[in-house]
This record gives sequence, structure tokens and C-alpha cells, in this order.
Amino acid sequence: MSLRQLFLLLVALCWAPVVAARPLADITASGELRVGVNPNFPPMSSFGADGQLQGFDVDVARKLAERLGVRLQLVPTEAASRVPFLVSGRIDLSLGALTITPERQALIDFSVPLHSEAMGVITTAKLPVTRWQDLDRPDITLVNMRGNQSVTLLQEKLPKPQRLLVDGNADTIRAIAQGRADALVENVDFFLGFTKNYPEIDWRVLPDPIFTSWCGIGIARGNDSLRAAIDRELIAMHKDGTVDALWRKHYGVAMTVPVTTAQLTPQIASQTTTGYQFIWAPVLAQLPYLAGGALISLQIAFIAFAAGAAIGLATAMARIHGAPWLRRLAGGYVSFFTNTPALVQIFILYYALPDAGVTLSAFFAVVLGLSLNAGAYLAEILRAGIVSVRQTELDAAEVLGLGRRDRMVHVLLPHIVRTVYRPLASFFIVLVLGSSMAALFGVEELTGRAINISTANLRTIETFAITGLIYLALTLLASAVLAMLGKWLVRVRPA
Amino acid sequence: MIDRLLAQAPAFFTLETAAFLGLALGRTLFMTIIGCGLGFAIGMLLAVLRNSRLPALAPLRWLAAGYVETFRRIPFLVILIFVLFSVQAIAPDLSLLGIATIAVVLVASAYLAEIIRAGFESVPQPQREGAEVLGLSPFQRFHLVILPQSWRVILPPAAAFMVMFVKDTALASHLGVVELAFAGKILVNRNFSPVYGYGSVLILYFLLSWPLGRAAQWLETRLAVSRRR
Repeated sequence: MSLRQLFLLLVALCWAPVVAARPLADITASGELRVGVNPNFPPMSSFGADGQLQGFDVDVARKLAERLGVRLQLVPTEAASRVPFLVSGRIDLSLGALTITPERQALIDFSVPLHSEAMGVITTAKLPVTRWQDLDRPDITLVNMRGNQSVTLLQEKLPKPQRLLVDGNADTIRAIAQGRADALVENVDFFLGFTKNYPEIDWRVLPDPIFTSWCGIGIARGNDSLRAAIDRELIAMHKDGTVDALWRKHYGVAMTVPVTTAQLTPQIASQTTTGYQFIWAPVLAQLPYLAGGALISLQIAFIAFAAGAAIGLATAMARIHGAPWLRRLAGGYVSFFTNTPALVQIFILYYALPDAGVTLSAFFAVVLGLSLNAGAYLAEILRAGIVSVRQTELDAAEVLGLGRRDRMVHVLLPHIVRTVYRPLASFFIVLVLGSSMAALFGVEELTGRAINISTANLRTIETFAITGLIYLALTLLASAVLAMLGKWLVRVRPA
Repeated sequence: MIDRLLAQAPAFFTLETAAFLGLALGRTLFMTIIGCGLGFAIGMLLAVLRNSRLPALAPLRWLAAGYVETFRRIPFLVILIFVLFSVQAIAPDLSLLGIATIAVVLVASAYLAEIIRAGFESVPQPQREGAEVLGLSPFQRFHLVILPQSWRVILPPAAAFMVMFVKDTALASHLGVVELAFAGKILVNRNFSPVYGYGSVLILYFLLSWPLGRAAQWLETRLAVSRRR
């Protein structure tokens, strides 16, 4: 993208015209049907060994595109972004087990059902329960996926258990395998496939389904021409057995609860859509919840900063005064942690360490990862501060008759502290921003809570605008406090 | 664990895996180079604007200062999500990689503007006054006096920033951009051992970042030596 294009884009951002979904005529004219599928959802859709998306949804989408006489373009879409993508017209259809719910029907339209979704319980032999109602105990942790409608349903049916929210389908089963959670209440068909990754665990499925819901293909609200076409083709695909054959191909068995003929009648046309309208009230109502998250963000930053400073000081001393092997060790630590992403470091602490028998909570894994990462960067800052003290300065102090202790307290330390204070203060801000990574591991700090809110109210732009403002306020406040502390405590002049 | 590693070795060390990781590496590089390159250009514009003394430009200077402060104080992850959903309304055809690159440009331009401005301010005030007295035009003052002297102060931290950003692009994995970090996660979800999945990704990041970091350090010492003359 050239500078000019970027400029045009920025101009467009200011006068954002509303892009509506594409009606059938536009799709036929462009020759391309854009379908959103979940990239991490085998056997529905996932990247195969050849790097291409494959699965039940992918085959259904391909058949639909074929029947409409257009090319298929697959767009990887995470659970939380399905509805916003449809509303904006980035995708024409959304697959990926989109359950038909009244809340969603207020925002998007659905085709006739594509498949059923029988809610059941996946757990291990460790948990001695026989019915799903037995799970309603505070000592049980249920794992669930952000953005799935089962999250809210579960809170009604099973209010007592603790919950752990993760971002991917594979992560739910991994959480149970690694002992972070006890059970998953979800569509058993979708998730059972992942249990094969953990053959050593004694997996169990509770027999009675809690309830059955139906998944349709999501279509932007008011895009009636496309919906009529999809309904027509989908009904034909149900009737000639294509859907059933594809389900058997990818799941190995028939659908637990099949789609009945009675369900195969198109819905009545919906009222026409208007474009995106900003609504702030549902986000503003959540301000206290977000503020609570901000405190957790600060907490993560404080702990990581304190631990990182301790590690950093030890590493800096080792690199300056240590024996040769110690210097090499400290140097290796610094270059490993400063040359790889903190995110991947935390991936390893959180996802890989449990294979070695060490299971850390999400909060602890993030804090540990950030501390180790901060330690490496702070070691460099502190080392620069320590070596910046000139020998002549120390010599002068000695000539003036200052003792060893006085030289340390009145010459060496003030010099070092004044040199490193400002870089340390800005690193603290970096850590406050970096703590947002915790959201990707299910820690409900500021960003995590913003993701939770936006997946429920679908007001992503509004939610993240407010979240950004909170971060801005938080870091401005922190900078002001740090500058004041610097001025009073160590007489660092403000920048 | 060793058994599992050995058993998976033939499946992992294939051309397909190499191509998959290579593509991911390319996306990481694309976001860093294009994002930081454009960010540098925009950052330069912002810094020149903030360095100007024209009273008429005061409101723009305020805007630029606000922009720089804002994007340096919001987490990259939050900016990524915000851009993802804001861009939907204008350019629904833009790829996820393009969206992530726009987010990189926004953040990089703010940080680099600050680095460039600090470079400009390192030129002593008497020199600016001297140039003005000599009758140089504002453009000549910038082009002949300020820029040649501030390059040396700007380049090392700017290079260090870009090296740092190689690693920050890992967060784009959350959008679904199949860059290095996401590639590692996909490999692990495909049931490869994390030693392979994350290990190979860590090695690639290191191979990318370490030489670049070294180059930035070399630049710093080289420019610092010549500065002392």
C-alpha cells in the first residue's frame, strides 16, 4: 500500500461511509463468494497439512459456491469477529457452528438450519459425576470458549462452577488435559476430536444431552436476495443427502440429532438493515467492570516490574563482575529473551510446560513470562547505568577523603539512579501496555474484560475506544506520578 | 518426550512445514518492514511539523502531539482489535495482513516521531539561530543544518525500535494473521510437540532479530565514534 493509499484510507476513516453487505447480484457480478470459517475448528474447518483450509464447513461452502456458480474465497474468522464481519460485508456468509439465537437474530439473519448442536459434557474419569446437573458445584471449573452462546446459557443452568474462558477450540480440551479445568459443556461432536491429542487421559462423555440447538449460516441482516438463494440451495442439499454425506465424511457418524423436514422452510423476510450506528450505553454501563480490570493490569505490571528489576540487577551485576562462565550465562539469558517475542515465551510457559508436568495458572504464567522478559531488558538498562559511572568521579571522591561507604551512597548510587530513572520509568509504562497480553490467556484484566464485553454486546468499536481511553488515562497518570517521584526522591529533572 | 519427538520427526521435517514457516516468516517481515517503513515516513512528517515554529501550524502541532501521545499509550493489542473493526466499515476487502500492517504503522509512526523529534532537538539552539542569521530559508535550515546533524542521533534508536517491533508483531496472531507466532500455535494444535512447534518459531525469531539487533548496535557505536570528533 502506497503512502497515497494510506492517506486516502485515513481520509476515509474520518468520513466513514457505511459499507453494506453485498446482495446476490453483486456477488454473482464479482464472481466470488466470501465465506468466513473458523481456522481452528476441526473437523468443521482447520488448516490441513497442505496449509489449506479443510473440513465440513469448507466443503459445504464449496458446494454452495458451486451451486451459485461463483468462486469460493475462504476468510479465517475467529468466533468473536463473525457477526461484526457479516455486518460490515467483509464476508457474505458466516459458517462455524453459528447457533441461531434471538440475540443474534437481532443483528444478523440466518439460513435454514445446517446442523444440530447437542450440548453435552466432556470430562475425565477424575471427576465422579454421572449427570450434567452434578456439575453445579463451586469446586468445579468449567472451561468455555469466548463468544460461544453456551457461555451465557451455562451461567443460567450451572451458576455455581468457576469458569475459565479460552479463545480456541483446541485450548478447551487442552485446559482439561492439563488439569486447569474439570469439564467442558459444549457440543460434544465438535470437541471430541481434540481428545485424540491426549490419549493418556481417560476421557468421558456424559450420555444425556442438556439441550439441542440449531446452527444456521449467518447472513447480513436484510440481505434477503442472498438469503433466499442460500435457503434454496441448502434445502436442496439437505434433501439430496449432500449435507448428511459431508457430515459423515468429516465426523465418521451421522448427526446426533438430525435436521427435520419441518425446519426446512425459509423464514419470512426481515426488515431492511441500516448501517453501523454507534451505541455507547452498553459499554458505559460496564465502566466499573473495566476499571476493575485496569487494577488487575496495574497489578500485573507492578509485579513484573519488581521481579524484573530484581532479576535485571542480578543479571547486570553478573555481566559486569561475574566469573567468565557467569557472564556468558547472563549474556545468553539477555539475548534469548530480548530476541524472541514475550508472547511466544508465555505460550511456552502456559501451553508447553504442562507437558513437562508443571502447570501454571494463566495469571502466574503471564506474570512469570513478563518478569523474565522485563528482567532481560532491565538488565541492559541497569548495566548501562552502572558502567556510565566514570572512574575519575570515584577517584575525585577518594581524594576528597570520602570513605568507601560515603563514596557508594553519595557518589556511585545517585549517579546510577539518576541515569537509569527515566528509562526505568518508561519501561514501567511498556509493562502496563504489555500486560494486555494476559487477555490472550484468559486473564480477565482490562483488555480481557473488553474482549468479554465486546463478544457479548457486539459493540467492538465502542468497547475498544473506551478501553483505549482507559489505558491512555492510566499511563498518563502513571507517568505523572513517576515524574513527581523522580523529582522529589532522586532529583531527576522532568524531560 | 524424546520418543514423541523422534516419532514426529519425519512428519515435521518436511518441505511443507518449511514452506508453511517460511510464509509465516515472510508475513512477520512484511508487517515489520512495510509497517515501520511507512511509520518512519509519517513519523518524520509529524516530527517536522512539531519542530516547526509557524504560529499558523499551532493547531496541527497540537493534533500531532495528541496523536503521538495517544498511540504510545495504548497497547498494541487494543489498537490491533480497534483497527480490525474500524476498517471493516471502509475497506472490507483489506486482508488481515493489511489490517495488522495499518496498526503497525499507527504505533510505529507515533514512537518514531518521538525518536526523530528528540534527534532534531539534539541540534544546539545557537546553530538554528546562526542559520537564521545567515539568511537560510526554513527548508535550507532543516535540510542543511538540522537533518545532517540529527541523523546520527535518530538512526540508532530508530533501528532498535524496528528490531523490537519484529517481536511485537507476534500479537497480530490474535487477528488470525498466520505470522510466526500463530504458525507455531497451529503446528502445536496439529498435535506436533511444543518443542517442535514453538521451538522452531523461537529459533526463527532469534535468527531474524539477533543479527538486526547486532546491526543496530554496530550503527550506534559507529555513529557515536564519529560524533565525538
